[in-house]
Amino acid sequence: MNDSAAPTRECDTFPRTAPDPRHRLGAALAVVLTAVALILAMSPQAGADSNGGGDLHVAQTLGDRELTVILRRVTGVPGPLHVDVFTHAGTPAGALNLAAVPTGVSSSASVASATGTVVDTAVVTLGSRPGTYSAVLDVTQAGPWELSLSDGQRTATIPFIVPKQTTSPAESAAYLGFSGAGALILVTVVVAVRARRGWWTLVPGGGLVACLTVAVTGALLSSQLPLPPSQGGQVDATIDGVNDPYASVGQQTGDYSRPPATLLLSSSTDRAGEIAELQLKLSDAATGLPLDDVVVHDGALMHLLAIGPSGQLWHLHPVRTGPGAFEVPLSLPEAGHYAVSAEFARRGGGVQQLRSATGLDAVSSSGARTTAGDAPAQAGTGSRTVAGVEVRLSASSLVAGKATVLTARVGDTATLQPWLGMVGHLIVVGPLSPTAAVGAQTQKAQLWAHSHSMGAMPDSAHEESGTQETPHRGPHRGPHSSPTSSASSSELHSMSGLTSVNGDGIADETVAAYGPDVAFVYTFPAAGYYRVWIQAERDNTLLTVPYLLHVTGTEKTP
Amino acid sequence: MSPSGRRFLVAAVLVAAILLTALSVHALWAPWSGGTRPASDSVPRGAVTLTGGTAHDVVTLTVSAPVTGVTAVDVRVVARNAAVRSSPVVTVSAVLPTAGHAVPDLPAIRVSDNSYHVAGLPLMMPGRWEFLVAVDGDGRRDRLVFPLTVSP
Ligand SMILES: [Cu+2]
Repeated sequence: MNDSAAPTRECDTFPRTAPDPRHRLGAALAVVLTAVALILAMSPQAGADSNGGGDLHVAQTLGDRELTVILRRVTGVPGPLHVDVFTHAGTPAGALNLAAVPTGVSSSASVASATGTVVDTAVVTLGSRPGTYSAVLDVTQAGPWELSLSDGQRTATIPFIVPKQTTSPAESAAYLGFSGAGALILVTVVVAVRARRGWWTLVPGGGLVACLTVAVTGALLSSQLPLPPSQGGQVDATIDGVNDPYASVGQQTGDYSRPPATLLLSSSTDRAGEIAELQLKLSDAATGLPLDDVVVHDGALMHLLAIGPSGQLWHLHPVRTGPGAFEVPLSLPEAGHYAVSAEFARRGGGVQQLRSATGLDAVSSSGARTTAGDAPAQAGTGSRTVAGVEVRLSASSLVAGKATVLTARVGDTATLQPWLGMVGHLIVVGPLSPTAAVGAQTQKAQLWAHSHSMGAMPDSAHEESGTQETPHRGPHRGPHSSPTSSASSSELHSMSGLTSVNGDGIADETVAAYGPDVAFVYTFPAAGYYRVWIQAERDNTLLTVPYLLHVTGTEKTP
Repeated sequence: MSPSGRRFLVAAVLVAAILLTALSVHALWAPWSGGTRPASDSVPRGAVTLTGGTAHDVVTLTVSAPVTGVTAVDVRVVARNAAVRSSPVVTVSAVLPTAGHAVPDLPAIRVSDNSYHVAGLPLMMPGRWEFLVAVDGDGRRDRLVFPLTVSP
């Protein structure tokens, strides 16, 4: 280090009297400043968190309530687990009993002694107004846990991980190196000022250089070394694994995927006019064993789509009642066929969509309604009013094999709330006969698709998207300065992903600031008629808007 | 101090720094390189004991040889409520979820008050296995999953 040059130059004048202390002080100051600058430059990287994971949002259809349960990230153990329950318009008031249960195994019998037992309970009293209702539970240790929610009749269990702030070996090296460097700075200063011979400064100075080298190397490596597999996300979580994910890395395979699943559907009733308790049993396709490794995906453990005889769409979130066992109530308003499909992800990666091969047939009874007009008979985009909100849909070009931009303007104000972390949901089923009963048609339709929207399409992308099939006053931007066109740069940002304000997990449902344009890009693989539903949340109400679209086989020349 | 002495000192410091860097890089790299075994598996030939629990029991599983091949398994089931004296039926199985391999349900033989033994449980290949222990008794069936890495 060049800063040691000043004291050593003094040495050349040896054996004269003691060197000028101001020189030494200057040299020492130079060392300190260099080191401090280096520490400041490197430490943010060294401090990068190694155990990610933010809040956990889990949609739950618990009885007649559609809830969004948010488990806030636990930042230290023992410590509080904040649970927020978000209710929607029409959610009945009442009490929910919460309980926290540690699960998982450990090589230490004392650490695992409480597993499987309830360590804390709390009550969330839901009001009749939509909003957030909270409770706090105490969690005692890092590791896998289960939160159970009970409304008195049903109990849902949500597996989750209480993380531990862990440091990778590279980070530990960086911290140790910086700490050592910090200590040696003091030593260097003392030696520089006190030592009679200037070159003694080189000894702590050399150590300082070595410490900084280790620290910088560690800091640089910490961002490049692969992370250990995610406990609970990629591999089965254990208490030991969560506490020290680096110890149990084992072989890094990179492929954690598991076999597909099978779905068994049963219903408590087949009489129209009643509420059916649907039981869904997931099994591993290779072993047949109950599949107990479903992870939260798109804000739910399982997304269930059910389509009724005359085109009603239910998008529900069955609750987990046991290993591989899920339950959800489904009202059967009329007789006919109900098609059912489930979407979920297994630990290790890969989302699966399973359509029940049988679906559900409801027979008529006294309470059933005879006709229902949910399904549009006329094909095409256009305007539709649902729950008092006008929704206008436009499509760029409905040609098979060509990307279609479907844009729905939901209401007129940017007050949409992200539901399941997305501004809009698009469900596409087809090709099918436009005149036959929807439930039976969708059961045998070849294609069920589920697409998400992050908001409006930026202007430039929209212009290129071609002509509209149905001409009408769609959300194409004219010379008028709508608030959305002026905000296209912020839309571009939102296209890169909807994240919450603090960047922790998915966007918060309480923020009503999105839309009103909701754009989807979907390429219809084949020509024909398709049943399409668009879903968006506004005023704490989920809007489901049905359409019937006709997709042509060849492109018409404009 | 002579210029040669100064040069020697600088060289010594540089060598020390390079050595330390090399050592730290080596130490940091080791856990991730495929060939090296992580610290926790440094005694892979030894038995592994894991403890888990249900609302009713504390269950301890000991796998004698968590390596590819046939292993003996011991299970200890201790009721949380000391008043419970019935001895449950214990069954042990194992699956390798990523490969979809499963081992038949093997009845564990009761060897003493709350200890059960399975003589031979086959582990076909290395990987992250799940040992499944079912405890039947008092009119219910509790199922515990013990994740365990099996070495080659
Ligand atoms: Cu969903």
